[in-house]
Amino acid sequence: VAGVSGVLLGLVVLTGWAADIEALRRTSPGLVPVNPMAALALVLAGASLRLQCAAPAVATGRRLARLCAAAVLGAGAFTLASYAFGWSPGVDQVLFAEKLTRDDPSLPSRMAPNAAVNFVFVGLALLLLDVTSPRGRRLSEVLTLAALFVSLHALVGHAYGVRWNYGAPTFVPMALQPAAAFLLLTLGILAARPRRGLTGIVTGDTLGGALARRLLPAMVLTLLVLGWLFLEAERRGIYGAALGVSLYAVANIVIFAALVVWGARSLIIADKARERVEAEGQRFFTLSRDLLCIAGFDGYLKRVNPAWEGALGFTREELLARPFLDFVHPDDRAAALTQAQKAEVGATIPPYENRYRCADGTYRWFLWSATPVPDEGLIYATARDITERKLMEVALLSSRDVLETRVHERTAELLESEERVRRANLELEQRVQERTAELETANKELEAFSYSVSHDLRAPLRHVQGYVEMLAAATAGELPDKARRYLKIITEASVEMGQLIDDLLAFSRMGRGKLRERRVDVDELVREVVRGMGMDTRDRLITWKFAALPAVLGDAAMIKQVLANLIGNAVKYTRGRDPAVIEIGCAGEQDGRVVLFVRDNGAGFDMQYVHKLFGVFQRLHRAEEFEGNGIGLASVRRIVARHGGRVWAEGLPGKGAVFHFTLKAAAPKPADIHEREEGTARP
Amino acid sequence: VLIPRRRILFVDDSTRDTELALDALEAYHVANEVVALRDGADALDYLYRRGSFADRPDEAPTLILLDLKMPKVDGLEVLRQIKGDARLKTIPVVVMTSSREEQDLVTSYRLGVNAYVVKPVKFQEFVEAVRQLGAFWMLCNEPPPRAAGEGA
Repeated sequence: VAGVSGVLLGLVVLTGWAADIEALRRTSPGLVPVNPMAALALVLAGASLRLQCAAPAVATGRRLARLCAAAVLGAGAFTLASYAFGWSPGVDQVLFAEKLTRDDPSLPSRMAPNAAVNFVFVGLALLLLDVTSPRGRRLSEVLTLAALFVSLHALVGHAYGVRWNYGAPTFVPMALQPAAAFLLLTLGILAARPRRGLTGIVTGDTLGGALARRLLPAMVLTLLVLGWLFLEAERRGIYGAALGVSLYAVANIVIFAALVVWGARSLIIADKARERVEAEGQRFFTLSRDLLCIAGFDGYLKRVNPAWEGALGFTREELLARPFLDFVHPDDRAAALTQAQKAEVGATIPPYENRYRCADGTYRWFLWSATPVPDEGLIYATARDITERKLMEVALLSSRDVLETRVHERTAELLESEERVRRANLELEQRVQERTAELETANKELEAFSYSVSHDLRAPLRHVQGYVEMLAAATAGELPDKARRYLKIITEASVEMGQLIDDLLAFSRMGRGKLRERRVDVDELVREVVRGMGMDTRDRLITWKFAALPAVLGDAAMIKQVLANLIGNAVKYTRGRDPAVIEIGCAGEQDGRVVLFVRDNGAGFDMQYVHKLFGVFQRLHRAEEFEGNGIGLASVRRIVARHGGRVWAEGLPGKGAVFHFTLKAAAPKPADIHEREEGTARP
Repeated sequence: VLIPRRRILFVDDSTRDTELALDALEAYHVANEVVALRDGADALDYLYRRGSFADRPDEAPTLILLDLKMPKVDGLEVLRQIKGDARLKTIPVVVMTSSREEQDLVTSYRLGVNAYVVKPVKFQEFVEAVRQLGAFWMLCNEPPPRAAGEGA
């Protein structure tokens, strides 16, 4: 804005000169007109400032700005030189030369010397605005300030109506417009780089900046206004010069004192706030259980919080007295040094871990976070004590080792016990083989026994029968009837004995033979058995009752033997019943086995002899009543037992008997039991 | 008509069985001559004409009825020697025994027995079996030519 207004002001004055408009050349008729060269310099200075403030600094713009600044500097310098060496007309009189002397030839419109000085200052300041060296910048600032004061002085002079201080009496005084333009320009130059130098102080976000912003305008305004007031009062003769100055001094004192007190108060308030914040920070610093520190790039700790003393056992003084690397575990030193070097170049340091020595010689683990501040040559760091975690990690690792070892041991044990089991199995197998061999031997012996029984017992029988026969033949017709009856009985007895031997052999074979288990259709077996009863059921009235029987698992031939024996018994012991009723059925399940039964309404038996029923050669009826040798039921029990089942009987003398036996069920669900009449068999 | 001598060699340690068998064979006129021997040793002596049979005429029997279970040399051994001898193996050998054991049956047939008969327990059946055996082998069956045995 200052740049643009400078340009505009200069242009307006130049236009005034060009178009001969007096109103534009001077602000009021009593005032000096603005020199056109000064106006041109103003335009150039404003343009330079404007260009240097352009947001994206373009190289050509910059160069142009420098050029303008140089031109401004040149204009000022040449004008000064022309004053100094008494050149006339001077450089400032080149433009509109004939118009300059028109009004007052004795006092031509020239550029005021102070204005020329100001142009030198401003030109230099603009040139030096962006130099890299802090000194150049400082110079630019000082020059700007000087120009500011010069223009301010001219302005105040105008305001207070002082004539002499426009310049030396022989010189042309500075016009009002350039003075205002200089003020604006210099303020603009100061504001052009708001973040540095004096401007930085005033505009900064600091306590000082705030104070400056408050005090400066107040002071400037108050002093100017007061000065003018007292001057006016004095001029109007209200009081004399001495009184005026003293009043002015007192007023100044009062106002300054007020301003100082005001500033002090705001400082105190701000200070208190800052103190509170600092105390907060200090409290956290003291309170923190993490280790907080500030270390210098020189390798020494500068400040540590009390947590350090607690953690390491060293006093603060001890910690600060030696390079901090002395406290780092020897193994971690290299890494710590690397971190410190990184910090010195301002690189960010990622969190890292290391060990610090304690006063008792032990080490503690810390997790570090550090931020370097290279400007201050300091590193700010916090450290968390992670010794417990580290110990736990170590403990975990070692317990994992222990566990692994244990797993290994356990595995070895398992393998060993497996080996033992394997060996035991082998032994067992061997023993089973031995036992099997023994059993096979025993079986062979039994077989040899039954062989000799069949061979050796039968031969004498044959001989008995043979010789009886021969005797009968030899004594044909000579023997009395009685003797012939004896011979007949001898023959019958020997036949019986032969049968007995056969049955016994069959019985013994039954216990030894292999059991060929498979699915057996009991219904079918029953039908076969009943069909085979042809001879025994001839001329008999028998009512058969067959239930649907479930299939079972077992040796078909043996189960058929069981059925044959039981049904044969039923047929035999119902002799004389009219009708005989024989029922074959299933009585559900017991211990997962099918219970089958054969019931008759025959002779029955006395339950007190039931224990003898299934013994070999045990008979409950006399041979004259019912033939038989007492092998049948023994065979039944033996077969059922070999199938893992059991057999039992109930009976009532003269009423009948029922024989139960159990067999493994072949189908999971036994068929429904229902009675069905097969009619009365009378072949 | 000259009827060739039909001789049966009956080898059985049971004198009673022998007597019953001889009675049966005699009753049905199956053979001209039945030589009854008590054990395997005697049988081999007879066949090889040694010991007490050294002087017997050189004439092989038409049929040998052989019991298995005998003292000294048992029936199976006798059978083995007969069937292993080129001169003797053409003579039909019928094992007649009380044993129904599978092992005996298998061994006998492997050695080349011509028939295997289990002695029936009942006397009548026994007599009938002996008669049928004699009739079949002595009357129905054509024996090998005399030279066959020596030539083979």
